[in-house]
Amino acid sequence: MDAAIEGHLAAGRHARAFDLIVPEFRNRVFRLAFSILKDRAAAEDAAQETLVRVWKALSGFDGRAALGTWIYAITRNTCLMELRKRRPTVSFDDPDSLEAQHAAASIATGPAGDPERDNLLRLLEMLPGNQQQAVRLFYLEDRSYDAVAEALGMPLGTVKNLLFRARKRLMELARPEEVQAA
Amino acid sequence: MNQHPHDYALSLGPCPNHEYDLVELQEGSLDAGRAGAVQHHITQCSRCRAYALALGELDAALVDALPRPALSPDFDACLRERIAELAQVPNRTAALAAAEREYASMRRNLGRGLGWRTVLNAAALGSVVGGVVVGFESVALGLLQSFGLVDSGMSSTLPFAIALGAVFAVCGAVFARRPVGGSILLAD
Repeated sequence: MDAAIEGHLAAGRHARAFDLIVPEFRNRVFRLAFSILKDRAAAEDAAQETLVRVWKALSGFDGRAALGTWIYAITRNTCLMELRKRRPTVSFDDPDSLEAQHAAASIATGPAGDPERDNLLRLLEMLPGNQQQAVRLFYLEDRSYDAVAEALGMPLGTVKNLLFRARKRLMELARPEEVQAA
Repeated sequence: MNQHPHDYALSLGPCPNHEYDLVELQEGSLDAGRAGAVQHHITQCSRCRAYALALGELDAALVDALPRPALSPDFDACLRERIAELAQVPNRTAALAAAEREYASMRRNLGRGLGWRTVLNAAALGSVVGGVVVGFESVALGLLQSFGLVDSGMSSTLPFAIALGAVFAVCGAVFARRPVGGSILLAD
């Protein structure tokens, strides 16, 4: 599919290329946006905005980066702008930030009445922002390290390390207090 | 996540040299030879056994807990609508580029008629013709006065007329030597 898109782009058939880009990337863009914004409606808006930006900029795409890399970069920028709109300054590594509280509130809109699930999501919110995002995206992308690395624009090793530290921290946080005291 | 029966072993953490291996084993990404060795180690080590079990539980709990939202069914329709609206509005960049092209075309067309080269050539030709005409007129007037065919009162204008004719002739010659568009007064 990517080859077909690149063929259209090389021939200057941008509209036809875009027609192929949308079904190929819309869900991936949406999942990446959701992993950043942690809100379904906001993620969908961001996905729309991202694809509109892709449409506008497609004639200027020079192929120096892979198409996916370029689209994911636009997605991340779009989401960061959305986060900035929500709050003037956003710290991705501050689990106590208003952003984290907003995210916790948005997660609470999921299936209610499962204390274990809620507790795990609360613990997840206590992780640094980049680890949270990696964990969310990892499970959204069916546990594919490669997909997470491509979407986040990070080396594979960095993603593995992020997830390793996230799991380790989650297990530490989940450990019963009496055992930690022992 | 359920409270693990081997909480104490878990609290100690896995053997440091098996920590990554346990994660990869749980993911199924460890090569077969290494996986066999780690599995054997797990049977011997309560700490690693507890950690491996907890990893599996955490993975399952995250799969269950993390939301997996889907796009709205009308996502494509909304996107198409937005793109169509944008396509109707003249693209500012395209409009600017078109205006620039038109301006360049106008300048080119204007330049064809009024370029420096044309202007200077015309000036040179005009100067030469003017110089010749004025000079000829002055010489003719002087001759006519010499023969007494015209009023001698006009003789006072003869030096001026000859000088004027000479100036025009010199200017014409100077301009005529610069036919490539330059100017003796203005840089290109």
